[in-house]
Amino acid sequence: MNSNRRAFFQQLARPLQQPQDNRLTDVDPIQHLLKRATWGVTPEMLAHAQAIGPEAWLEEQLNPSELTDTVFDSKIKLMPMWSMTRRELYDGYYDREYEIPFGITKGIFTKAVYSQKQLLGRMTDFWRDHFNISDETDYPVELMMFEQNVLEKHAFGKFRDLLIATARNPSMLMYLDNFASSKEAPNENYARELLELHTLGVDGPYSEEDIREVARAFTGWTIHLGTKDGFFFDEEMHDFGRKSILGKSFPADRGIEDGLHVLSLLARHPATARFLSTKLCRRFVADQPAQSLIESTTQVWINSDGDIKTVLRHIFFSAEFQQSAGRKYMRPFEYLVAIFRATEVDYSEPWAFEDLLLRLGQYPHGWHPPNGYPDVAGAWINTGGLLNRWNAAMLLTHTVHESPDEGWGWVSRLDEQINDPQTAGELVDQIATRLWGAPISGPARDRFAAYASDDLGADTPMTKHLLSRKMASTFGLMMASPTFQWR
Amino acid sequence: MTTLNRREFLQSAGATGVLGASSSLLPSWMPRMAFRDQYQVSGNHDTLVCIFLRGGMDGLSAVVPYSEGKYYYDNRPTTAVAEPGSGVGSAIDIDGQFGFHPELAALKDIYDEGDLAVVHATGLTNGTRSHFDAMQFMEYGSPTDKTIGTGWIGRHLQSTADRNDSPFRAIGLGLMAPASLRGPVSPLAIRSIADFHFKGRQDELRRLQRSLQMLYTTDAPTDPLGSQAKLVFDTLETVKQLHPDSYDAANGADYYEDEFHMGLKQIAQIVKADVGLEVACLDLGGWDTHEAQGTTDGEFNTLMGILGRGLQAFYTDMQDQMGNVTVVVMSEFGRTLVENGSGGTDHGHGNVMFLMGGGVRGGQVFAKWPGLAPAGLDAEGDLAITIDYRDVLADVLTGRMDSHSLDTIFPGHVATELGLVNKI
Repeated sequence: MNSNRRAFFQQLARPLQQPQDNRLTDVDPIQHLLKRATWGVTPEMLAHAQAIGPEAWLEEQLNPSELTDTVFDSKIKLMPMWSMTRRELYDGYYDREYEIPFGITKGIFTKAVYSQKQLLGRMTDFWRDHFNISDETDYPVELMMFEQNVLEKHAFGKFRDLLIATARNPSMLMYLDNFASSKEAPNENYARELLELHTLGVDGPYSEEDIREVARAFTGWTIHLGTKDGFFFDEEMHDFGRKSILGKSFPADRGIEDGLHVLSLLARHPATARFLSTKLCRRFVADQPAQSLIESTTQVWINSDGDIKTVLRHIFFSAEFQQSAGRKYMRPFEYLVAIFRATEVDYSEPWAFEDLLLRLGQYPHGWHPPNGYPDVAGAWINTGGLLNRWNAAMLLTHTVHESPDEGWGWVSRLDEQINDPQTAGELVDQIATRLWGAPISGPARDRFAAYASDDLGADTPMTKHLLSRKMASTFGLMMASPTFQWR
Repeated sequence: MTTLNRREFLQSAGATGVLGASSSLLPSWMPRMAFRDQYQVSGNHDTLVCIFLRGGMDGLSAVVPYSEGKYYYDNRPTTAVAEPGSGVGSAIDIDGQFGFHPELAALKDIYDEGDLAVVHATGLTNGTRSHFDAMQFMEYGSPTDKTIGTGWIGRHLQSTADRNDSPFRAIGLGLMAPASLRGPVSPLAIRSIADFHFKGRQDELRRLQRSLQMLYTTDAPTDPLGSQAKLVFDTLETVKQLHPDSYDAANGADYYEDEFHMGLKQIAQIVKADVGLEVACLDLGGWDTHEAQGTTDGEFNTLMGILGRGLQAFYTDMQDQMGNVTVVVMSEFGRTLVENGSGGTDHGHGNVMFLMGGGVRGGQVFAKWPGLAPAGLDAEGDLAITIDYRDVLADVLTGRMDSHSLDTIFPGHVATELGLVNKI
C-alpha cells in the first residue's frame, strides 16, 4: 500500500467530524417525549415520568380531569373571568369587554406555565392555530367560550365534535362572515376556509362549485346572543333548495341538517384524515414529517374515526418520533413559556408582559388571517426574532438593579433555582437541569462553562463574587443559545 | 386612522416605555464613509420597495372604472365609488376613464407629476381564490409550483449575489420576512431599527456577545440559525452607526404613527443612510372586505387613506432619492365584480398594481382593458386578467434593477415588455 493510499484510509478510520449546531439530538426518550408533550421539561415532571414510565405518563396527560392542579387553580382564581359563565361574562363585562382578549392571553399563558395538564394545553394550542380566530372580534365573550367550551373541551375528543362546535361558535360565525350568509346573498368565506383550512386542505378534492354549494348549505347559521351558546339557525335565511356537495346529493327541504351533514361528511373524509394527520405530525414530530409516519397516522385516524387520543398515542410512540429530537424550533410563545417554567420568573406589570409577547411576535389569537400561526422553523427564524429572544432571555434573568431596563416589574426567583454550586461546571449543570430536566454534555456545555468562568474552565471554583456576577448572565446566555431554541 | 388597535397601541407605548428616548448626541446619523469601507456594494440599480396588500385589495374601488357606467354601478349597489364630480366621496378623475378612490387624493399630484403609474386588470393567472395559495404563488413568482421554496426577489438577489454583501441588502419590515424574499441571501426581518440593540448586564455585555457569537458559529452546513445570528451581529454593528432615533423626515413629510407608515419611514431612513439596501418589503393587511366594505366610511376607506397618505409621505420624504427608488404595490387578487349580500365583495381575479418612482413612466393607467360588460369578464364573471403580474415585475427588474436572469426569477414564463419604466 503506498503512502498516499495509507493516508487516505487512515483518514477514513478517524471518526467523522459531525457537523454540529449545538442542538440536543441524543437525549433520553422520556426527556424527548416531555419536550414535545409539555411546555418545558421541569426536573420534577421528568422524575415523575421516569418513575411511572412513558406509557403511564402519557395516559395521565390524556386524561387530564384526573390530574390535580393546585398551583394553577390558585393562579387562575386571580383571573375571575376564567371561571365565569357566558351569562356572567356578558353581565359583568358589558362595559369593559375590551379587557377580555388580554385576559384570555394571560389565562392561556398561566395555564401553559403552571398547569399539570401540559399536553391538554399543547393540544388546545394546536387547535387554536388550526381553527384560528383573531382576537380583534366584536364578541370577546364568545372567544372566551371558544377557548373553554370548544377548543379545550374537545381537544382530546372526536374531531367531528370539535368541528361542529367550531361551526356554531359566534366568534367563528362572525370572523368568517357566515352570520350574514343568506339564501338571497350567500357569503362563501366560511365555506371556503372550512374546506381549505379546517378539513380537506387546499389540495383536497373539491371545486369552486363545491364551495358555493357548501355556502348554500350553511345559510341561516347565524348569531343570536339570547340562545344558550349564541348560535341560532334562522330558517328565514336558509336556502332549502337541493344541493350537490362533493358528489353527494342533498335533498331539498332540509334545514340545519344540511350544515350538519356537510360537517360529518368532511370530518370523516379521507382527505381530512390525511390533512390533519400531516399537521399533527408537523406540530409534534418534525417540520417535514416522514411520509411513512403521515401514512400510518392517517390510517390510525381513519380507523379510529378521528379520535385524537388514539392518534396522539400513535404519533408519540412511533419510531419516527423517537428519532426527531432537536428538530423542532421553538415558536416565540412556547419560548417565553419555557423561560417562565425554567426560571420561575413572574410579572407584576401586565403591560410589560404583553409588550414582551408582542415583541417576540406571537400571542394567542394574535394572528389575523384564518390559517393560524405558521408551524415550521423557516417561518420563525429571522434576525429580528433572534435578537428579540436573546433580549428576552437577558431581561427575564436579571434583577431590577442589574437589568438594562431596570426590571420593569419582572420578579426574578433565580436564587431559588441555584443551590450553592462549587464550580463553573456545576453552575452550568444546575441551570441545564432547570432548562432541560437534566445536565447536558458536549461543546455547548464547555462554552457555557467557559463563559461562567471567564475562560478559566469548568473546574474553576465558583466564588461568591463570581457567582453574583455570572449567575443571571449564564442563565440568560444558556436560554439565548441555539441549544435552547430547539426541542 | 381613527383607532389604534391593541397591537399598535402597545407597540408605540412599549417603544417609548422600554427603550426610553435614548436619542443620540450626534447631529448626523449618516455613516456613509464608515459603511462603504465595511461592505462591498456595487451595481447601477434602484432600491426596490415592494408593498403587499394582504387580503385581496378591491382594485375596482381603488382605481374606479367609472366610465363603465351600469356595468360597474349596477353590480355594486353599496360599494361602488361615485362618478367624479358627483359630490362628497366621488372618485377623482385621472384620465377620463378611471378615477382614484377619494382617499387616494394624495396620489393625484404624484400621478400628474409622472412618477406614478397604474396597471389595471392585472394579476396572477392561475385562477385560485385562496388567499394563501394566491399569495404563495405570487410571492414565489410561479403560478403552479409550490415546491419551489424560494421567492422571486430571493432569486433575483441570488442571481446578483456578487454585487452586495451588506446585511441591509434585503429587508422585510415586520415580524417575518415575506415569502418573496426567501432564498439563499438571508433577508433581515426588522420591526424597528431603533430597537435593534443587544441588551444585558453592562459589565458582562461584551463577554456575553462573544459567547453567543461562538455558540452560533457552527460548521453545520444546513444550520439555519448560524447565518441569521451572523446577520444579527453584523446588523448590530451597522445600527450603532445609524443613530436611528434622531431621524427627521425631510420636506415636512407627514407619517402616521401606525406600523405601515413607520415601516415606510424606516425604509426612507435606510435608503438615505446608503447602507446597501436593494430591496425592502412591507405589508399592509386587512383588505378581505367580505362584509360592510363601504365607500366613504368603513374599513376599506380607512385602509385606502393609510395607503395613499403613506405613499405620499414616503414620496415627499424621499424627494432627493426618488430618482433611484421604485415602489411596487400589489395584492394577491382583486374582488368579485358583483357585491355580496353582506355589503362586501368576495375573492375575485383582476386587480390593480401601482408603480411609483422617478424611473416610472407615470401619469398613465396602463391596461389592456377588457371592460366590465359581460363579454369582457372572465369565465367566473370577474374582471379578467389581461396582463400577467410577472410582466409588470419583469419591467421593473430589467429596467430598474439591472437583472439579467428573468428565466430563473420567473421560471417557465416568457416576459412581455410593457414599457412601464425608463431604463436606468
